[in-house]
Amino acid sequence: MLTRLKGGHVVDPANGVNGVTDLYMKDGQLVSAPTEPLSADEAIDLSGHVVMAGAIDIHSHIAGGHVNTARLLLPEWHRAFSSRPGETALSRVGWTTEETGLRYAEMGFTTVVEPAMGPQAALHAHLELADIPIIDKATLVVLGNDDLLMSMIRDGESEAAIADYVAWTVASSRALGVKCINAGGSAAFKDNVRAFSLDDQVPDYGVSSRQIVKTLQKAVHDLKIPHPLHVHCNNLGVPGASSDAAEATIAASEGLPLHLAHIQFYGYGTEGKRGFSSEGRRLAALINANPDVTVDIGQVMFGQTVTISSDELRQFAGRAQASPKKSIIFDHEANGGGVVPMDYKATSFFNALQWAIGLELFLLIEDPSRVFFTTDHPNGAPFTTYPDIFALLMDREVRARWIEALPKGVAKWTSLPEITREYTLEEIAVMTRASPARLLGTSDRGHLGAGATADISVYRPSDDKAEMFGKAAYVFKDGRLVVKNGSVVARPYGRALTLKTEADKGMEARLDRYFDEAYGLSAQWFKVRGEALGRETPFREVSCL
Amino acid sequence: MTGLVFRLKGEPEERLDLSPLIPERLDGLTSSEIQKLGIGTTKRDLKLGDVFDVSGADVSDIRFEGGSARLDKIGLGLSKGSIRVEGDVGFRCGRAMRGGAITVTGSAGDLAGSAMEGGELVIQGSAGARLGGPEAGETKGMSGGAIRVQGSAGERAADRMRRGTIVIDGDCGLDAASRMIAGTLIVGGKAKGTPGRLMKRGTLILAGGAERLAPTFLDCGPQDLIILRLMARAIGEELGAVPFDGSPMRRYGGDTAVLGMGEVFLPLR
Amino acid sequence: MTFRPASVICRLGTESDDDLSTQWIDGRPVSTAEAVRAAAEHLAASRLPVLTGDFNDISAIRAGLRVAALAGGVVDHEGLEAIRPAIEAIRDAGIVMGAPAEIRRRADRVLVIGPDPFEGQDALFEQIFAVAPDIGARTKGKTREIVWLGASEPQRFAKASGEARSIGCPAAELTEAVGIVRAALAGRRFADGPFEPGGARALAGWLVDAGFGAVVFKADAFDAIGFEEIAGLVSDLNARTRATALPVFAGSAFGSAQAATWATGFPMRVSFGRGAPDHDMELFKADRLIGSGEAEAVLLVAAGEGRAGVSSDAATILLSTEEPPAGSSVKVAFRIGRPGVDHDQVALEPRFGSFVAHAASAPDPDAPSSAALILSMIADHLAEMAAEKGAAA
Repeated sequence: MLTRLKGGHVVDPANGVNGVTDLYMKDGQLVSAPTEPLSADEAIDLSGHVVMAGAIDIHSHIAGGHVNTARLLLPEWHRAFSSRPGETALSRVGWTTEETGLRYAEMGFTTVVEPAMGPQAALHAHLELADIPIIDKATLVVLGNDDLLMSMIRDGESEAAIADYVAWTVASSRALGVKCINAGGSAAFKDNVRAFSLDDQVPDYGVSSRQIVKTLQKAVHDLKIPHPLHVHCNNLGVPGASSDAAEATIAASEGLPLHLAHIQFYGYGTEGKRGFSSEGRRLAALINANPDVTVDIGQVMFGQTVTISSDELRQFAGRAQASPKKSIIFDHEANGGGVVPMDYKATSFFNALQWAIGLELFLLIEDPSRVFFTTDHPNGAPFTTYPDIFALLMDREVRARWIEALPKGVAKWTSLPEITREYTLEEIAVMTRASPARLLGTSDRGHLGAGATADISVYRPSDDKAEMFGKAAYVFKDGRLVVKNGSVVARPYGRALTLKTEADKGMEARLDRYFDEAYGLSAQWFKVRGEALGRETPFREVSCL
Repeated sequence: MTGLVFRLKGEPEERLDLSPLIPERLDGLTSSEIQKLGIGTTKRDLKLGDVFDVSGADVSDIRFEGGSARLDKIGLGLSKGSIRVEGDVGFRCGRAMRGGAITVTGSAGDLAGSAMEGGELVIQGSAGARLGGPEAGETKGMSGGAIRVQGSAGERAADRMRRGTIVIDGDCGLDAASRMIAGTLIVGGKAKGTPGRLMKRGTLILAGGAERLAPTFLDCGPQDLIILRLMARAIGEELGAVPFDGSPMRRYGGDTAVLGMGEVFLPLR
Repeated sequence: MTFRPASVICRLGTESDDDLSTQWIDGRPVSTAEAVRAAAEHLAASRLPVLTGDFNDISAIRAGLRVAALAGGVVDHEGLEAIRPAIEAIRDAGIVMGAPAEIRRRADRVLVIGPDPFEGQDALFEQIFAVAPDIGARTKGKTREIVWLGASEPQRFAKASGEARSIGCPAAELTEAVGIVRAALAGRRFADGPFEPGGARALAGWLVDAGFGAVVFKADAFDAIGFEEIAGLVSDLNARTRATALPVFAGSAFGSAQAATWATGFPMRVSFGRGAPDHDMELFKADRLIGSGEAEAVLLVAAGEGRAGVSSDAATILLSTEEPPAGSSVKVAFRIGRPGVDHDQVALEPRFGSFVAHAASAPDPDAPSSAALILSMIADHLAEMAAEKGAAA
């Protein structure tokens, strides 16, 4: 069936379109305009609406062992919980796979990346993803604290061998890319190291965090994995040391692409009597000057949330700030991690400045194609706060009102009040559609050209950007109407986007031996088989470069 | 204006969620709106009028004629006015209440007075498990107000209690005052199991003795404390005669597995 | 928004409508479609149906949750009571816990508390204790030391790599023994309890001096306070050195609880009586619901052997790997295939600390359908009934 989407204001920067035009879709894809426009079987009038490709979230913790542990830890924040008035942003998320899909779709998001899948928890993550309706999903698999990689580096094994190991991990776990999280930090923490920087060495291995990052960056590049290595730097959240870590990692890109996650959490200096200040302007300048680097923000918004991270060392340190006062820390093989509840208070100098630093970075990084829209859900804030963040970026008056409400003394520690920039619709489309699709190598989405997957979000323009982006007027997923007037009307299942790659046979045999001998585990257990997920089409493959 | 009366028509087939029936939420509703309040817990979508006859009008003076162990969440979040139940109640009676008064002439289920912050809850019969305690995952139990149970109480009474007073005239079940943070629990009968496990601070007056105390409670000897007499008098004024009179008791300090600043008073004998 | 979870579309077993030998209504052989329809109608007509059993396959619990959501029912698991202390302690107070694979390679000192955690878990025992620690600057190459608190002899550990000893302690005093060690660690006063004079301080010092200590215990051997006490000990230790807890779980309940947690936000027991999932460990206990008459229909999944016995008087839909018992309250019965034997199975693997997909060990095209498939078909039928009802309204 040919459907004509008529008369909408199409904002499709990937194809240079920003104006009123018709779109056509057929069998789940966008198609060129037929020579005879009236030949369409169905026409939907979108005049007066803004039409974009479905939005893509490149970094949101929506599934897997640690996410589920957070649910287990915090029953009292579930909105359905008996007699608990559920009025925080966290309680509005809903704590379920089901609600994750519905809430994202209602905002016009159609692809979301779970960025921290441990290789041993890959099946778990995919089982959860399979239960998330509507949206497409993808995962980044975590390496960089694993014994084998660190041993291979120490033993001077070839780049090709390391690349084979990385390829096996990506293929087995059905990931789309690779992430490293405080490279070597979790391993060091297991040796009772409590602070760990880029040039520190992991005890016993004698390998530095920098070596691990550089090795993985190279392997990802050599394997032609579209998404560059996704780096969670050292010393997250530590005033002074965090911005040093970000600066050093930005400098370490050295001509190859590198993605730095939730950069806001590294924008902390040590000035002032509280020893906490903004390095937002400086980090933005460093990012502006290094075209190898892309970042996402990890914006903080106020309210109860929970931090979920495989940075075991920093999560352990964060236990002291847990609110409510309880946490779960994991010593997994290879990786680790932790779940620490956090209540970002609008009345706290520290939390207010974190909020401001995130916005400084959003607004001072000049190229919207190199900065990505995230809260590091739920670490900075639940994804249900996105509409408010769109408003903060697009409307300086909204920003001024928020700044006005900050605790005394915060405004003088941030350049935010002086920044007049407002994101345009086109820049929003670049940041949340065109550019994420390029970054992930998913050329079938993020744009509205012929051949693209018909993931389309349609908004009713409004001066109130939170209202506009909070409830999409229409959302089409694979050409099917799934949201109307901000409510879900159909809930098909999407797929997990996985990289089309194959493991080397020799590496396969080596890993069978290695996991058995080193850990008493079967290497086969790491392999995610689609049949285990109970969906007709669990995966869609994405090609390497 | 006469008080609002809910007369139970018969034993309900399913558990009922009566949390809407507090003055704050009933104020301004017409009789027919009250009849239509959803109180069921199954897909039948039971309405109040299916289960209760309603009479009277004063929402600040609510009475349930006829009780049942299936009447859950009575007085949940109450902040003012009074509720009297002639009969038994189910789970979570007076949970998270902040003020006002609830009297139950029969017995209560689990989590009575759960995490309450203020007001007074009197149960003339017995109470179930976790009296005053937190719901799953909550880090604090009762943090204010007073509870009196004239019968006995179930397991883990005063779990994670932070402030306020609980008096149990009869026995209390296993492991009372577990994880207590502060506040006062007074038990007239015997405290079963090992009371005070993981308590940080707070006061237990166990007039009928304890089955056992953990080795992380240290005997501080007999104590003739003026504070006990003052407490007996003050609590007596608030909640009626208490099961201790302020005469000397043996004091233990614990639980030293954690902070160890709690105190347990046992009879001298 | 009402919960409408996943449809397990993928057919996990064979569906043959003509086979009249694997499903019955009131003891009368019927086709699959007839039995599925009867089951769905029975659940839909029930005020509050309860689903319980052993759900020995994650696909089955996922489908079961969908049935409950569509039928406004309750989901319980027969093994839930055993893991309840763990769930309650973890969500109330948190924990630092480790994977067996990491403990194998790193733990130089292992404190085992209480009844043998490795009974029936030989593979897990072998995984952890067959070798000495071989990674970590503080632990590599050390002889593993094992202390078993609560045993008279460290017999099980005779086969372990390392040196084992035991400290006797009556089962009823284990929790307080752990409390004593915590007091000793913190330098607070305590009575010796089950320890010999000086024994508690020595044990505390031994733990502090570990490079990477592990505290291993049987998850269902302690009540919630006992579990929290052990987690508290491990947390205290981490202020000074590294230590990690390993609660050992048996059976399928913890895996099922995880699936319920992602699907509903809660680890069971969960009711969909009012649409959105609601959680209560006591009120939604299957036995209590059936005993009190609050639930009048039961769906029981019995995927283990010798489990087809149905004790309740409530009208039951039985999914069993065995023939249904005659003359019972069973209204609709399905013979199901054995997960992991006749059908693929997804289950929590203790050695892995996560889920593993097991291919059928003896796949047989003539085997009865899997529980997951039957439950999916019942859910699909319930969804159709709801859609028809919606269309009629």
